[in-house]
Amino acid sequence: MTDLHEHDHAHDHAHDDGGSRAAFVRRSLTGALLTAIGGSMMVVALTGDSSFYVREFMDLPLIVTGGLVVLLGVAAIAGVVVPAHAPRSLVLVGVAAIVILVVRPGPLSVDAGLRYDVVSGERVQASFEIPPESLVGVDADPAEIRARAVELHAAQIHFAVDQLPDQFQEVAIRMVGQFDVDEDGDASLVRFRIMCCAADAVRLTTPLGLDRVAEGPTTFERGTWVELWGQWDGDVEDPLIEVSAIREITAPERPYLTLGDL
Amino acid sequence: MRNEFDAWSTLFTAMVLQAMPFLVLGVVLSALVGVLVPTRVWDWVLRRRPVVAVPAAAACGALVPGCECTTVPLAGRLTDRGVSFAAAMSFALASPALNPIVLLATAAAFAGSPEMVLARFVASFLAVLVVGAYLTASGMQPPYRSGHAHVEGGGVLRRLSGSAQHDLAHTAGLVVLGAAIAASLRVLLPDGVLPSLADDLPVAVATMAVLAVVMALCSESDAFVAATFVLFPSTAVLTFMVVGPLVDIRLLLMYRSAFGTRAAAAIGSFAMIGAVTSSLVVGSLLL
Repeated sequence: MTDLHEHDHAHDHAHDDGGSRAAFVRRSLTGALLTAIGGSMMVVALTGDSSFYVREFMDLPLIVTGGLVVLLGVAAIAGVVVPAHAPRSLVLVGVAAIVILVVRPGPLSVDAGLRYDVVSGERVQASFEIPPESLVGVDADPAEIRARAVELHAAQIHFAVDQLPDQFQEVAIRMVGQFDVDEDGDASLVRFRIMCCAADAVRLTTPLGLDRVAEGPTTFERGTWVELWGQWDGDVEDPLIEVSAIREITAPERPYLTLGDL
Repeated sequence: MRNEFDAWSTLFTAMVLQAMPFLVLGVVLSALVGVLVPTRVWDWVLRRRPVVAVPAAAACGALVPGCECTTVPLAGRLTDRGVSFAAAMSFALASPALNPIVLLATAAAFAGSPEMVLARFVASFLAVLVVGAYLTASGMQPPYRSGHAHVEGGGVLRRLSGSAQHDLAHTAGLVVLGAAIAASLRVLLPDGVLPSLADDLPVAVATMAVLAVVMALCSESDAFVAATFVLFPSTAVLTFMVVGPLVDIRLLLMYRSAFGTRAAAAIGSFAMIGAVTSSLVVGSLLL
């Protein structure tokens, strides 16, 4: 990578070139770029936007290391610690800072372009226990389902269907996720699970049956965050949730599931 | 197009924010190595017996939880202090590939399949040894291209700051570039291609190797993504986990920046050859 300024021994030593205009511009630019990316790391953690991209335990490292980068940047601008030279690639951290602070992308949506779907092949195992208060019987009244529902996600439903096929149909279920509909018009609920960051997200999908919804809209724009209540349809091979009520909500504070949710 | 940009910007931001703290940790450790640890220590630890140094460094790396973004600048500073390139790279490759957190994550992702954890450890260790053996045999000792921070004067804190600032300036942009490329390739990956490539073992292994390079995942999380490739043979899934921590787009850029194109090409190609070969052998024996 070519240097921002040709490596020059006259430029190598802070005291030699500190007074020149070129050296001032160079150290100011390097310092500003470091300050921008360090500041971005801190801002995204302090505002909570970090939950769109990384796990919550990354907030403190982002703040601490971002603060350190800001200090290094300010030290460069102030001339306390003067960078000898910097590669052109450093300019890219400015681009990253703009994306983080100005574009401020939201969490992954069903349109995210992550093409793989994992529910049928979920290898992470967990035991599932039915909360007694959520047992409402098969084809229960929508009001009772809504009152006694237990919040579950696609993987838990997968485990439950697998482990408790005789009881799970009696359970009232509440789910939160993004509404999706495929080319055939079949609806589903999508939630992403991440391990470290959104880059390793996998899509958990729950097929939905909407014929039993008594009131309100039954279709939404793809990617709309919804809350729904319903019951498993009893199909072990291809489990589907018969929805009794569904409504649009704002995106939750924690948009992604993690291993701790399984 | 807007949807693709939304996805790209989220993936790009996620990769940058996930990597930066580890990169900062790496440049801080690198600064500590460069400023505080006398050269004679490294001479004593690793330099005298280069043949022993590679497996020893790989074993040390396996004990130290390190992210790829942390270990590359650290390896650069180690070579700058006189440690053999083969040993420094063996440490840098082994740490993200073999550390206990990675193995625990693999065990969690492949619950009920302890053989996958063992296969990952053995195949990754063999792949690191292949790279280390080649670098030892070739005698390659490229200078750390980021070079000296030119902060010899002043107090310890100022020298540490100067070294960290210097290394950060030389690596941060490359992490961003790697994230941009990886996010672009992820978004552009065509629909429905992967399942059609899963049936034939050589094709499946090659696909998983390329995917590992393209996706540029952290080694601590790649097992959970690997576990979702249920249509692929276990050996191909193993290949994905062995290749990724050793060679991906982001790492290749960092290798090139730190050690030059020739060294980066050598590391990348031998890491790929070692990883794929060891995955095929270990996969056929253990999976």
